[in-house]
Amino acid sequence: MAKCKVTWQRWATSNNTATTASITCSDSAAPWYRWNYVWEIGTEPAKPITIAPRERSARIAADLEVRRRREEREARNARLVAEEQARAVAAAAAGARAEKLLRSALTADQRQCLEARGFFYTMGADGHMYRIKRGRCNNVERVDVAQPSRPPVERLCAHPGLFVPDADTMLAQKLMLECDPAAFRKIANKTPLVAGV
Amino acid sequence: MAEAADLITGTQTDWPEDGRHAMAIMDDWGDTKLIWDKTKPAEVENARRTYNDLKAKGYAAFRVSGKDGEQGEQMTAFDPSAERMIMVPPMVGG
Repeated sequence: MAKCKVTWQRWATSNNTATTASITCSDSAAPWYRWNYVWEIGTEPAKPITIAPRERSARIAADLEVRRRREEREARNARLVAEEQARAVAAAAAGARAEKLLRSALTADQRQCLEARGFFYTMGADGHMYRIKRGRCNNVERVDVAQPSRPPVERLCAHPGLFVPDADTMLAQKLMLECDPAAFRKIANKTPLVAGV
Repeated sequence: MAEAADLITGTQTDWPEDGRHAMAIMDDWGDTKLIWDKTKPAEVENARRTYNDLKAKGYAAFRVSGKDGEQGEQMTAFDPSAERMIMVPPMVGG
């Protein structure tokens, strides 16, 4: 059987024997109390379901609490989404600045290689050639000077302790390898990729 | 990070082309550029103080020419005539 809230007219009609729609009650609680009947509709005569005042108050309080918590949750989620979006915008701007700084310090060949293949080669002060790939960790590889396209002989991992965009990390690695590769190698975690290295 | 009053942040992403010198300090915003005019002693002193502060924190300083990626040179002391400097935060093993 379907349930429905009784409309005022139907309620007034069913509970009032007067010829008008107004209801006279002995106190203000009575019409509200009777208004909260929930009527079952079906082939049988409608049966009012009585809700005790105390239980009704508890139900109202519980509904309000549920609504309050839902609103709090929605507000918190909206705030988190906004913060995440702001962080993403800031990160993108930082990445663009870092990319510009990196490109200003590369040769034309290095820029072209970086754009096309995602890495560039640089000659260290120690006579070794290094390939610096995009990234922050494990992105530096020592390669054969004569055949840099061959698999690397060693992988090194060192980056700024401060969290900076990846392009800044790559620039820092390039500068250190070109000026003080011994210091870089001392700091870096090294992974030999060829036996005997 | 330097607390220089004339530290230029956020607004200038390019190296200055008007003859002034600049120090790009790597940070989580990409980089912050401190720009100075070598003919103005106050600005030079400000840049020198910033340089010394960063070196004390372990930053490495490199002079770059900006000419087609010409190899940089590590700096051990502040040189007000260096047109472009890059300050790299202390490196750690990954």
